Amino acid sequence: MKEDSKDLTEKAPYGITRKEALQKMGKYAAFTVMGTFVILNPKKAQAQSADPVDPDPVLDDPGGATPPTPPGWGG
Amino acid sequence: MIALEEKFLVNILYRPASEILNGVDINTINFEKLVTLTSGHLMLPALFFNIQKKKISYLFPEDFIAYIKSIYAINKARNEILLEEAKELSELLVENNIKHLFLKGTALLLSNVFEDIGERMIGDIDFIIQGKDEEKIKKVLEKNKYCSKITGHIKKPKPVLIPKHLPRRVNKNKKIAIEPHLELLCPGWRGVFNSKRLSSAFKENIKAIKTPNQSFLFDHCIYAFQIPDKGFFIPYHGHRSIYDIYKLDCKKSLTINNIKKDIFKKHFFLTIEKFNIFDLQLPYSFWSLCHDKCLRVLITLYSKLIFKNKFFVLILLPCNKSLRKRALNKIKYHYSNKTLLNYTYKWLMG
Repeated sequence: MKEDSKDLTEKAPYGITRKEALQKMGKYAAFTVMGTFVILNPKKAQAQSADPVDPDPVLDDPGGATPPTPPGWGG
Repeated sequence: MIALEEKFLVNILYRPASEILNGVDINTINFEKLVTLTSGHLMLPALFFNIQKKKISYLFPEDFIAYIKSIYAINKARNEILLEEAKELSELLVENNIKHLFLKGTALLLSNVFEDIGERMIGDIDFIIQGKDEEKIKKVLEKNKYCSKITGHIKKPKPVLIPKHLPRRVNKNKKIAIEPHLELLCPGWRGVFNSKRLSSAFKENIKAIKTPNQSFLFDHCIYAFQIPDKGFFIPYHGHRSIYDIYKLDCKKSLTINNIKKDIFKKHFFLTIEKFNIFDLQLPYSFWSLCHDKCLRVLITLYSKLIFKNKFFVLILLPCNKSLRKRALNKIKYHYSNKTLLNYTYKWLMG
């Protein structure tokens, strides 16, 4: 509980608290799935880089238990 | 069992204004849940557009409408930029004599499938070129400052088969990333759906923006959801794909005969049959159900065992020294940790 209130009041470096940010965006922003913001933010959408070939299972899968990739956010 | 919020969303998106409250009690709708559900399907702009079009905003709280309106406005502005950048890209490719066709969301937007350009959320500009232009397009894009972000990665062995697309490229003076495709699906699935379907379109002289025909867009929409987005293997549906199909309204493709002979299309429409969006009564008997289930299991096994690049890794092992070294290191590590059997199983089953 204490941590929650700290989260809401703690000022970010650019001078807006989380509570203020939520008030500004509306409460529904908190219920919006991240993918929507990722697409709407040009820089984040550009960074959603898809690999043209499947990952190399020998190199890129050290634990061997890759979780299923989420459905495409592309075109 | 369909959640109340999803029933409401389906009514708003696909049914006329008079049927929106059919089977739904508006007082029991949780609007926070509706936002989570709709945004998960990337459908908030389409939801706002349909609410406005069907004049039903009085059913919703004011702050809800204000919020989805802002999402719609941002998306519309972004799509306007996307169309402009697609046109610029097309001009650049025509100048350099590279034949191309836009795909997916960009193609749908350019084909005026949607009533409003703010409806559809699009991540990047997808387009397809012919394999012979691969080197040419790399040079043209490099020259015009479209840079790939994966240059810093560990160099991978050159793929045995043509990759689905070249690495995504970004121009720092532009807002939208581009993805030049060489094929439509990953190797292994090209027997099902491939770029040969576009060969006649590529034969034509391309002087302006060009998109594939509606029946191609219909098929591509289904296969892209069923195979790369794993709709065929994981039991889920995507309203973005369903809405694309609904808006395409391709009567030639939306026939029982066309759908029942293709397991991917049949599975797509059977999964969403519960929503009663399309007027399709797919006939199914006990035997056809058994046949489809068995076929689906076989296709899933095929996808898990063979085409996770594992088959090609095994082929490449004897002739690629660095790959062999890395594989041996991996085996040594798991052998010393007594997890080799577990690792091998996990690697095979993906």
